[in-house]
Amino acid sequence: MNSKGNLFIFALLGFIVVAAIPPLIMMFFPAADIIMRLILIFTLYSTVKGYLGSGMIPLLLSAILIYLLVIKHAFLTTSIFVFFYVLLAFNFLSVIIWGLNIAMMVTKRH
Amino acid sequence: MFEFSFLTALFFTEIFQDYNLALKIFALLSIISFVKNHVGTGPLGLAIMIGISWFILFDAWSFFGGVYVLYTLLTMGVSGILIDFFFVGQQHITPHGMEAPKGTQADVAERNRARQHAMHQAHARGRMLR
Repeated sequence: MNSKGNLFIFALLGFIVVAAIPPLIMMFFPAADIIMRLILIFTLYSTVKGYLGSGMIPLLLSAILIYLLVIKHAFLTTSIFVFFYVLLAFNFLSVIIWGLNIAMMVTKRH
Repeated sequence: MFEFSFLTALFFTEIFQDYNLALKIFALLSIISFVKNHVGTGPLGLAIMIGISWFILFDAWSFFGGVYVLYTLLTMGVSGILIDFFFVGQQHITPHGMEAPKGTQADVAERNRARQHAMHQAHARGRMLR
């Protein structure tokens, strides 16, 4: 496999590791779990409110989404949220790819 | 063993169904917001909302579900990852340090100069032949 393929595999592994960090933190630190769930609830409610405004229907839809995403599958949702809304929005994934590329080139030279 | 695999399959099916429902709700929000911005919330707007929602969420969801996921990912900037992968991955370390990235302004100017020079030469050669 060429270096491009190696970079792809390492980038994929790096993304998986980065995506697995928030659920692990939530598992080991209960306070982080509660804070993350609160952040998710605020984000979901503000998203629905941004689309529909205030009223009964936005509250109902927010409640359904909060039950499904925050109460039932909190770990997976947190992972997706941190990966796509935080790391991707602030272009941190580019830093990971760049760092992996540099590390691979340096390793290849020595 | 069978029980374990059955429970695992059930768990993933449940996750898929829950996320599918959440995705449908987000798609519904997008449809409502889109129609509201363009047509308003009158009877015509409501009829269009219901029509589009029925078509996208129930009739052709197997197609539009994927399209909506793709749209969301592109909105978040997933294409940036591909750009990084294909452009940052091109860089090499030379004995003098990191190689300059290809396609800079100086690179384009140099290419343009070379092209103009070649065109002048071809033109001059054509005049000599005449």
